Amino acid sequence: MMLRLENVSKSFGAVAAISDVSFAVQKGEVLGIMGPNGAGKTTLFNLIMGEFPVDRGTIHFDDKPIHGLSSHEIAAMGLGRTYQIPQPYRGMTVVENLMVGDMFGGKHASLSRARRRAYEILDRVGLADNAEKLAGSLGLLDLKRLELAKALAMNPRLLLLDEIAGGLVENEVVVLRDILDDLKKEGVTMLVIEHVMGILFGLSDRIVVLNFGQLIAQGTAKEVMEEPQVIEAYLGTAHAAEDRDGRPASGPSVAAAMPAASAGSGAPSSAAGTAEEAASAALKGAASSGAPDGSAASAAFDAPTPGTARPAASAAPAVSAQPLLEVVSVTAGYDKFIALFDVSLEIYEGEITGLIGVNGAGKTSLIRAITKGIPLMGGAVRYKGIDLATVEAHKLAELGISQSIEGRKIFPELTVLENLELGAYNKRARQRRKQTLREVFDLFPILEEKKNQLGTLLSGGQQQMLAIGRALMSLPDFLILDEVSLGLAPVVIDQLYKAIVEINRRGTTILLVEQSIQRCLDTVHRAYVIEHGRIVLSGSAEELKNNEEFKKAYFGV
Amino acid sequence: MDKQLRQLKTDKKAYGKLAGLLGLAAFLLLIPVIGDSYAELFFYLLFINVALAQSWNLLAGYTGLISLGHAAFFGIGAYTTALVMIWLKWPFFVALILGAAASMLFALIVSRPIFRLRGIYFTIGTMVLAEALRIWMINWEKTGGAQGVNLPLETALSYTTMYYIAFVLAAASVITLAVILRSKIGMGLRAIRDNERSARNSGVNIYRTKLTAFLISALITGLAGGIHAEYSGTIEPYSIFSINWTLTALVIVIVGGMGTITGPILGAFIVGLLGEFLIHYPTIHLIILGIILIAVIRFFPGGLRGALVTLYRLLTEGRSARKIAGNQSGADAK
Repeated sequence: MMLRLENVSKSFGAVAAISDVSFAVQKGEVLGIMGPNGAGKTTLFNLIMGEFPVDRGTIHFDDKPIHGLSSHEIAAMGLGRTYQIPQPYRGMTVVENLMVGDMFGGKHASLSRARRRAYEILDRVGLADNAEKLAGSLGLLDLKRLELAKALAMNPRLLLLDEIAGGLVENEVVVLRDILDDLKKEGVTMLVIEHVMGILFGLSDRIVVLNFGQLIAQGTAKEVMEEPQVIEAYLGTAHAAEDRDGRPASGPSVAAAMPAASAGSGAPSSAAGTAEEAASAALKGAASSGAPDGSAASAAFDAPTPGTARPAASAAPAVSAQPLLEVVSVTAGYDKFIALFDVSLEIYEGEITGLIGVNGAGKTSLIRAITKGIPLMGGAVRYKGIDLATVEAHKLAELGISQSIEGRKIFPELTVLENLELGAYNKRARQRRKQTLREVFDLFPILEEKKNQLGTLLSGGQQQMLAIGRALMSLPDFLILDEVSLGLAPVVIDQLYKAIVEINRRGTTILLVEQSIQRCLDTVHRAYVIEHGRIVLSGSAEELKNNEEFKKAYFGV
Repeated sequence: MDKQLRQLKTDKKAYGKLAGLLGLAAFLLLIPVIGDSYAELFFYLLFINVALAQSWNLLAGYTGLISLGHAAFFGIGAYTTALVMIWLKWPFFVALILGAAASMLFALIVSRPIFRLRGIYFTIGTMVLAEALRIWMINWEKTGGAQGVNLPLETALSYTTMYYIAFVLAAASVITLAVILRSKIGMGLRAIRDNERSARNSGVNIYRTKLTAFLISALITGLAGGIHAEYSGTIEPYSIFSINWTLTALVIVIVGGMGTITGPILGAFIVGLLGEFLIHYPTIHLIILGIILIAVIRFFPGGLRGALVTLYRLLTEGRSARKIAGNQSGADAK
């Protein structure tokens, strides 16, 4: 046995993050770890790597106990890991980032050898062109690649991969898949946490499923997917029951968001009936048809809700004639790089407007241009008729503009309550603070439950709720939501979208940036499609859904 | 092909740098011959400051440990050297080595607790340590208390000899830094500076790597202290343990360029010259130094070295950059 965990438990205060987990990984095996957000997957990695001690239980690597060793000793034994949120050495070049792992993890002293090996790995992951750039200058996608490259540079015997495909677009997932397949062929043992089911199912020999820190199932993809406990953990029975009652759901009929997923064989992705039925049917389909990339199951997981009701928001659009926000011929960028060319759009009061585009299309840049994160090189942004060029950035909140930033930037050292209260910073919001807080807690009851916990102890989904909640605390008229669903489990995304529709129903205008196109179109009234820094298409959600060109480009049909 | 060309270019750059440094070294070696005693004093202090700045930079610029306690290493080096010469009557060079050893021993003893402090707390911790030591020395009768001690006059070395010793120290500190940075340990130090957690998970032994940097820093600073004791002939705790030694190193590094080797050399020149020009206006001197420090941090985060590099690039690559920009806009138009 390469890695063996026996009865491992770990609590943080009163929260049992991992309880009594046992499993083993054989040499050359790829073990997938699944579980909803907050199930304890990353904590498990942290325990294996010795980032904090186990409370009880033992961890053996090559039959040697490693619990109680410090992280660098464990790393030097041949365990390499990646982080969900990239942890680069920002002040060092990309190639040097890899050399550290080779020299310390791989225990080699020669700089020239380390440099040569680093270049080989960079070639492999497609970062060679950026080798001599500072890691701090890379974008999120390249940082994700760098995470993998850094781990590979250690020449690890056991590779721990934490959500490396999260946030990648389809063709990038394919590239990543090839790299991982090659590694598997070379006999690298892997532990894989992944929400992109195509990768997880295709790669893993076996899967263990965690929920609330407990191991609820293990076996092949097919076996674990037939476990009722697993289906329940992922899709949530409460959620399904609600749909049966005929109440409107937030993001119904979410078919596969990515072309790769919808190409899967026999995925009844928009099947009617209960969520459980749809999902388990799809899962069986995936497992029995032996779909090598598991894309059928991936489709099901992206589409847990049956296509019944239209979202409440788009059923009764309350549109006024005067746009709340006008972006007029905006050109903007960073130093030498122009990210937006002559972009114009209008956002009407009471609407949810979607912004669709692949990574690097200019979505985040557009938001930065609106919120004064980057200077305009041309054009203007007007909000309620006021030219935002005349408004200082920190006054935007007073005007009623608020945003929940990509990457869920909450304050980790503050409690949930403190995080929320910081959101109500402007005078207007401060006076209504208690009332708003009540409303946020109504929207996200889990935040009230955890209000005295530190931000770091929240799971990914809860952090996103906190980020949105904090944005709401400033009493925005206009709320910008960037990449709400990135890296979250479907059941959590459903909850978030339900909340988003509710926020809009209460009168807040929303600009929604979302990678999952189907989900976006099911929620918004109107949407803009951005490509290479230019708006290429716009219209109502219905119009876009029926636009052949659009369907072809984004759904691969 | 492209790689080879790049390699050639870096080699060329490296040789150019080396030639520049050698030229500078030759000039400095001739100072006692061609210059007067004023020039000798000026450059002597410059050497001490370069050594202090390099050793401070090893911690701050490359390891991310901002120390305000380097005066402790300096003072221990100075006092140990002096006391060994006075009490044991041992020759200066033996005493100097013992002084540096004492400084390193002190670093080793305080390393465990002090490394537990992070960020600003490390900074405060080192400052408190140095201050505590200074107050202790002021009150300790055995070492002359506030009056300090006088080094044996009969064996005193000439100012010119001291000039060369200080030169060797400065050169050695520059070379040591250059060697460390091109080694495995330098890689580990910078990794710790940028992301300690990630470094640990890449197999870097954080404590040992930090300790190595700390000990080397203490060694260089301790040697500087010992040399300065012999040069001064008399030492007392107020000035030898003064935080000014640390602050001077800090200003030099930040003005010159943190996390670089040539930066502190440049910074030492600038700060030294400024001190000479404003020597009759001690109060304004500090104010101006403060203003420069703020201006550099605000406008040239890479220090004067960074500013010069940028300027050089603008001058030499201006044409090709414009060409590229022109091509790009052409492509966009299509």
